[in-house]
Amino acid sequence: MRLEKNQFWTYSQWLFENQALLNGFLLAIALSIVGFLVSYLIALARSGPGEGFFAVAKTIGDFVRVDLPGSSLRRIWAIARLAFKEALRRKVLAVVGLFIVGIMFAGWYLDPEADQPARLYLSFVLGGTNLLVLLLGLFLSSFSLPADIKNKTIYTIVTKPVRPTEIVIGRIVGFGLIGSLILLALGLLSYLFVVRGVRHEHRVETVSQSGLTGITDKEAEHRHEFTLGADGIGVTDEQKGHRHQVTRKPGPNGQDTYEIGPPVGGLVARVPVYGSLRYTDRDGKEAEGINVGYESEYQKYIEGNTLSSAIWAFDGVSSNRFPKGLDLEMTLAAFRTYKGDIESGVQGSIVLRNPDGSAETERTQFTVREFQVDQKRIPVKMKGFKNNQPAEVDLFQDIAPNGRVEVVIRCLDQGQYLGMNVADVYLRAGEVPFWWNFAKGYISMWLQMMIVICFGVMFSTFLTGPVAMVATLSCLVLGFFGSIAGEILSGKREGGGPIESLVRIPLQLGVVSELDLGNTMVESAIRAVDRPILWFLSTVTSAMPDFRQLGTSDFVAYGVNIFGDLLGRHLTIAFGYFLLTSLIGYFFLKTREIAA
Amino acid sequence: MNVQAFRRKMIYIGLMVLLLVPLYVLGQPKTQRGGKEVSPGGTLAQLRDQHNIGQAALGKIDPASESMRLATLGMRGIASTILWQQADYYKREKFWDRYAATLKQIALLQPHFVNVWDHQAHNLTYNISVEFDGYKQRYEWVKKGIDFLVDGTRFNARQPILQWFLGIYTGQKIGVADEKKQYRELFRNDNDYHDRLTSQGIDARQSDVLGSDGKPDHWLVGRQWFLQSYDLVKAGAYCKKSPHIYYSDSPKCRLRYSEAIEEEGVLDDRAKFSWNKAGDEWKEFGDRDILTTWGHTIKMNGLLSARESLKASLEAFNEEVGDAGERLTEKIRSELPSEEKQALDTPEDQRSTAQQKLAYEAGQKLKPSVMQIAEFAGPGKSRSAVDLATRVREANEYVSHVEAYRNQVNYQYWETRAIAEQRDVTVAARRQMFEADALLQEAKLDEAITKYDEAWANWYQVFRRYPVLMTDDIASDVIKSIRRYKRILDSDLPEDFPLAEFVKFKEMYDKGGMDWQVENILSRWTSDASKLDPEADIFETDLIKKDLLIDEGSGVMLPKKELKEGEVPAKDPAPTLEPSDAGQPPEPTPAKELPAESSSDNPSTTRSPNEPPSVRPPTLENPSQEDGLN
Repeated sequence: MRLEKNQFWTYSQWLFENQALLNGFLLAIALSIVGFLVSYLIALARSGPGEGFFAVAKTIGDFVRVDLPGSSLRRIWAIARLAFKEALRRKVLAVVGLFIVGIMFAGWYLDPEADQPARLYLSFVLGGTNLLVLLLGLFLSSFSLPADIKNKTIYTIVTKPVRPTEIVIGRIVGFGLIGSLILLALGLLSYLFVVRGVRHEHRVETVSQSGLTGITDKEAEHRHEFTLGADGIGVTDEQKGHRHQVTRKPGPNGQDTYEIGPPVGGLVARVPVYGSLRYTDRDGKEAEGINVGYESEYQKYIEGNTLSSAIWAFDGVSSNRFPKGLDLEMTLAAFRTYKGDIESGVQGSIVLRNPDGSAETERTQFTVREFQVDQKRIPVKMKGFKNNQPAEVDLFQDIAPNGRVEVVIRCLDQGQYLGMNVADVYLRAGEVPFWWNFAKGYISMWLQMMIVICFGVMFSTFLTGPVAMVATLSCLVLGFFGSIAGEILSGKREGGGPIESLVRIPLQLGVVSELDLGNTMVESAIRAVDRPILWFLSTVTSAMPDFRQLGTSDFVAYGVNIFGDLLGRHLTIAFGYFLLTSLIGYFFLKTREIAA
Repeated sequence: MNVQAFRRKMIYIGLMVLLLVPLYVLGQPKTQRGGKEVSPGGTLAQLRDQHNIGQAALGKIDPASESMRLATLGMRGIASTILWQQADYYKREKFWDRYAATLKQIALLQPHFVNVWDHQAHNLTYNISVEFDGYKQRYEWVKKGIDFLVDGTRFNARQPILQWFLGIYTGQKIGVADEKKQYRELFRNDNDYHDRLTSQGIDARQSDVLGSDGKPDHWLVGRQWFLQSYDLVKAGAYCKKSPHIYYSDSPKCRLRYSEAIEEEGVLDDRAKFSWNKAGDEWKEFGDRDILTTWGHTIKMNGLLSARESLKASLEAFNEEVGDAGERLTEKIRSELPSEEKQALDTPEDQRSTAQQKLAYEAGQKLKPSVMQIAEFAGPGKSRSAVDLATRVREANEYVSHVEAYRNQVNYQYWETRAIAEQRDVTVAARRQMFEADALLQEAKLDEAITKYDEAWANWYQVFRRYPVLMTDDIASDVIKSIRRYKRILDSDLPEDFPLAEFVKFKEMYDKGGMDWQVENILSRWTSDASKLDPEADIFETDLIKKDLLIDEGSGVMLPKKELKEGEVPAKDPAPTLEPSDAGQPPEPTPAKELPAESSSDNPSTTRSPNEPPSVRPPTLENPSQEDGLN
């Protein structure tokens, strides 16, 4: 899972400090000006400058004076019901059937031997559902209104006292309703699929003579080893991302029996508390982390057996929040520059310290466990140093008296490296029920679907069905991939614009190779044409919702609770687009009415 | 208007019907009834049959693959390109589970594209596995790659290259990796994987794959994959590999297996038996007809007979042409330009750079080919001489081809190794060294020294009898053990240390690889060894009395002074060399220090100087001891 910096922002940080509100406002202003100018130019062509201006002004005036205040929830609901029934008549429920078929044969494509089957199953159902509902929203919303206009059935509505605002909003609500019902059904089916998919039972296959260790049988392509405590209760090792509780019970013939519980840890929703990260170099000075040569720079590395360290700062550490101590979870990477000891992993150490340097805990040594969540419990009281003197330190009184703590991680092996990103170490502040996180993931999908419906209805107010569909699809594609244009333009990404790509494909020129056509004039001309196209695409993309940012499937799949702030942001974005598209849809519909 | 429309429709229908005819001819399916072919089908069906490219003939028809390909609605290429890009992204960002899942999807989309299986299986086995720090995780990903490739064999029933890769991955990836000790241990105890192997078509419980401990060994499992590949080729499938490399892999698995168990301390009859089997298989490989790139076949074992044939042809040719060769050389010499003549007449060490070049060119001219000699032989002999010259040339080419191919698979080395490792003396040498190392670990120093001394005496025999082993990994192991031995002694190696010359040789070999000096030494020693009675004790042979020295400056072999019967080997050994052979005596060079080892190998206890060696001290005169291991 890749967590971007902006995903940590709180709602207010996002809205005010990072200017989301300002950007939204500017977008609305820009679109209003463009809309006004375009409308005026069209009206000018139809009716001349004076009458044209009057017509536009009247439309705006009607919206403010009549249609907006005069819109009735009852009529919107009536339109919505109509849209709902219409969608039902168009047999959109077949989508559910399609999904069931997909799930039935999912086993063909999913690898039960995967290291994290729960993650794979979740990625599959969430990805599949997301794609399906976006397409559903696209087809539902794009064809309805143009068909009504084409068949003139729209007049049965507009001849009644129904306002364009009500038509637009009613349609969005109606399609949203049927989409929501379908999404609910898909969500329930997905949940059952995932829960059933990861459920399995083990039995004990062999037990050591002491009866305290043993191995389970092989189920779901894995088996566990377990160790019991003196009380006869223990847990298995972690396999495929989960463990089981094992309980020994005395049997009737003096032989002990063993009960193995259901899998734990596969379907979770951890509540992480993320901090901020800084690095120091081998001399202990502030520095950037080291790039050990990987293409991806998501993780930076620190050098072993030097003062090089990664220091996380966490806020909000209190005894109320972490009564039993800090549950530190890590997903660090190791990089070896020499073979070293093959059987022992690369070693690291954790020290918790007060940011003012007055107290720190003693070193907790660990062996890195790559690509899995490594859990460390930092107790409330432990040995450490106060003012450089050995002493017992209290986590909340000495280390984090103000709720702020620094976690210092170092690599202990000389010549070896540990890699990390800010999201790779966090404090686990409990869990939320998995089903709730799953539901939140579906809420994100619902928001995406609603945005697509809004765009579809908006385009359908002035375009024919197929064209509206293509336009909505274009928005969807731009929302997912449009940032590529900007990246090419800024040189972050290799390759060229559409014309250059058209040339490269038949010439079988890879994106990293120079475009060499033997004629610099032609090459320059191609780039000159491409540049404005890319700029245009990039600009349009910036006005589009970023569907990749709106997706939260990874949170669910990787067992991380979807932050309320993040969901709130997504809700705000969706609502903003709802307002924007409704408004544009209203004006287009109104204009068509005028034309009629 | 209606009539026109009707006419147009009729034309369309007519055209459609017309088009159905070629469609029928092309696409009619093959029909069978009761197992018998009723109709061979249309052109396409017949072509499919002819080239064995029908879906069923290519491999398993998998519903998941078929439905996936259908679902892409003819855009399979685009879909697979997107998936490849996705896979690249996942790999870059280390989303391993998703990466593996995407590979499966790619493979389902392109099930008969062999490179997909090969490339991605290699990725999983070699590139992804090493990304994990834990060796157990690495081992799991090695298996994932192997399993992926096994899936590929199901979809591609007639692609022996996949089974060949399976042999490579199962054998070499596990057995040659840095963590081979751990991997081998994991493999032999991986009962679940053994079950899976059985379901994949390799019976992991059959005696042929069980190692010395009765558990499946990966080298022997790898060998089974190679054998499956050979079976496919035998059945008519084509494998794009050089035949000598391809067919050497199965016997090499057995050789490697034998080597591996010895490294793990199996140093008894089980090792000898394994080497015996390996030697037999290597010989079988040597007897196999190998198609060369020159179009003819050779046998790896055919070098001796080829050389004899060349010798016989050469003798017949010389008899036919008489002194024509010398006469021709004289003639060429007399016709050489004066500068070249002058260059040749100038002593080698006094030639200028230009003269060196001229002398070289003249030297080349003075080596006429057999064909030139045959043509020069005279009108009466010319025709038969040319025939004989052709035979000589062909025989010579054949010999060089066999030699080239043998070198590529290291044929002689493995042949000698298999023989050497079956000898009691080799097994004993290994065992004693292994035991001595173990004793050292337990800090039983005196016992370790005794064992080492026994081992050195045996290693001496092994290396003198099978000099090629001095270039092997085991030679490096011996060097490591000698270092440990030296540390226990806490002093220089004894004057009569039997492996002193081996140590020098190894230093030269490690420094310069197989350069001409090293090769020269090796070939001389090999030549000496070949004259020995295989059963004789090397200490009783003449070889021990006519030992050879290595001149450190030149690396040239110098004959040592022959010991007379009853003569005591010199303890202080400035070599007395025959003036005619030695020229100037070798300059003593400063003592060389071997690289330091870890402190764990450096116990402080030393051997008592008064303690007699526990084994017979070799009678090898060692005049170069001061230059040896100090």
